[in-house]
Amino acid sequence: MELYPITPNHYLALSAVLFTIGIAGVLTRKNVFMTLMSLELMLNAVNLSFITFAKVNSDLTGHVFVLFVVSIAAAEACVGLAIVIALFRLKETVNLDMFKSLKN
Amino acid sequence: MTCLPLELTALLPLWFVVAGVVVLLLLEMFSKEEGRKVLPIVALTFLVLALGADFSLLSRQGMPGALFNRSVVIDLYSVTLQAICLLSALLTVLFSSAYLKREKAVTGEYYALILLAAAGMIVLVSASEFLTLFVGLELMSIAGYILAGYLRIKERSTEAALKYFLNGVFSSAFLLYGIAILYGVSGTTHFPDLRLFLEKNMNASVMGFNPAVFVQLGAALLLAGLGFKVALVPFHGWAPDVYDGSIAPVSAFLSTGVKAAAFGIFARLFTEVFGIPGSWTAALCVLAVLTMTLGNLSALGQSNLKRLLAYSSVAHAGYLAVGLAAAVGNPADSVERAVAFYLLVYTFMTAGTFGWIAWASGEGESQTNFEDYRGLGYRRPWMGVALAIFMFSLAGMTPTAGFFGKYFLFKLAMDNGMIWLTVVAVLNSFISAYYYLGVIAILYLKPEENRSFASLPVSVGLFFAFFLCVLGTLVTGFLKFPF
Repeated sequence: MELYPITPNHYLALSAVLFTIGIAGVLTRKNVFMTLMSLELMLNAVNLSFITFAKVNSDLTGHVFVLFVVSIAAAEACVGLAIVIALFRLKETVNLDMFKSLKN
Repeated sequence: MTCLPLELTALLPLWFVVAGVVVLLLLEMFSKEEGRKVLPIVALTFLVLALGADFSLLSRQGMPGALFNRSVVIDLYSVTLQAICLLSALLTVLFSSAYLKREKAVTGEYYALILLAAAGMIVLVSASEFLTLFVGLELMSIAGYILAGYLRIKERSTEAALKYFLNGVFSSAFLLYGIAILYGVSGTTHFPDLRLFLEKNMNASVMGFNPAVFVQLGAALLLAGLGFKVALVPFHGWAPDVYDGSIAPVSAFLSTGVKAAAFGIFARLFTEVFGIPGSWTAALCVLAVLTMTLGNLSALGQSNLKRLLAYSSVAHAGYLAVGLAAAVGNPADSVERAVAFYLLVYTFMTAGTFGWIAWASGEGESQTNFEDYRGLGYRRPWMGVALAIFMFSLAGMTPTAGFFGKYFLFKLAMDNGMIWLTVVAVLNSFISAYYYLGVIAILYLKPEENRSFASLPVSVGLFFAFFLCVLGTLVTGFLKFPF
């Protein structure tokens, strides 16, 4: 069996697949935590793309970008979990379908 | 001032706002209950200082241009947008001080978060590079998520925060993916370099692949991400709920400052960077038509003033998108000028209306339906007139600034020969006039006997805020602007 080397294209394809899985998760999952994890998956898929492109372009900007994205995602997760806790105290559930006081 | 490096003086508004955040948080920590009275005054002081710094930048000869290793650009457009965002923050603080006192929810963090979001807006509108853009956008958005859920004991407010948060992060991911692809294709994150790359390679084939496909994919993802932030249809699903569920002063902030900043950078990207013939003109046309029409048609069926305004804010993003759709073919600075002018006018009238709702809805925001305001125009004549002026301006009636704002935007489309787009936009203005004028009609219906509206106090800060909004709505169209 012949082995092929892993090229940047493989990484980019993996990144696109992960991003799509993330979108699907956000759109279909009803549990807030699953939605949050899917969002993180999307962000990390983008990080993989950045690293790959930085490698291809031999440029450091992509690496720096990833560091910023990781730290900002951490800040976002803090705020998101805080909001979920506040809602859980009011409604005793984390099911997104139960939050519907804002409908027309 | 001359002895200081340009980097320090040109971003003075940002330093003032950030200093305000630190001072407010320290005050919150060390002050007793009665010391909380000074919090809005401190916030206002720093915002006024920042605005003053912006005006001194506007009045000086020649703009500093690109700074901080070309990551930030201080030109007329970015300074004007900074001033608009600071104005929105200022009005929000004025509306909030009375509102929070009434709801017994005064904290230093609230004002600190508003200033923090304003700092994010300043970074965002001055960005000349994608990393700066992203950091500014997130600084603004994260503060916005917390503000939307500020009254955490209220279910509606917290739910609005969750909705805003999930949609916000979702759209950020799209935006980032778009940036990653553009970076991968062009090897740069700087706007001017990207523009040069596009001009050179749009129709060429580099190393066996056609970069145009990837550029369009990246730009489409960017368009989706920014479309979410400024609530263009079909990415607008969160906007009515968030503006409806958040407390009214925060809705004022989210629908003016946050939107102005996001639309400001949106306009810069799609004129200065992508403003070359390509397929996104068609995409922007479709988005503009959808946004205006759906926003206005949904607003028609509302019986709640806050929700009506939320949909009207979606429709106004559509009018702005008309200007952007006409970006190719018009000079970049004339498009940016029209967009900045409209955002200024829009800030005055929309912040004014949300502030009016904050005032008139009473304790716990219990009265936001049209019927609750029946006859208010007779019992509180000045406040009735104020709302009527905002509504006239939102509808785009002639003497008010709303008319001039729409005129400049639609004229761009006319100059570009997009007759049908202009016709759709004008028709939409007519539809919107129907429901805006309906609100005025309710104000001057015969009032109920036992309804006096006397229990709604207008404090000094509130009076000043309404005065500013009404004045802005009436005279902005007749002023001569430096930009």
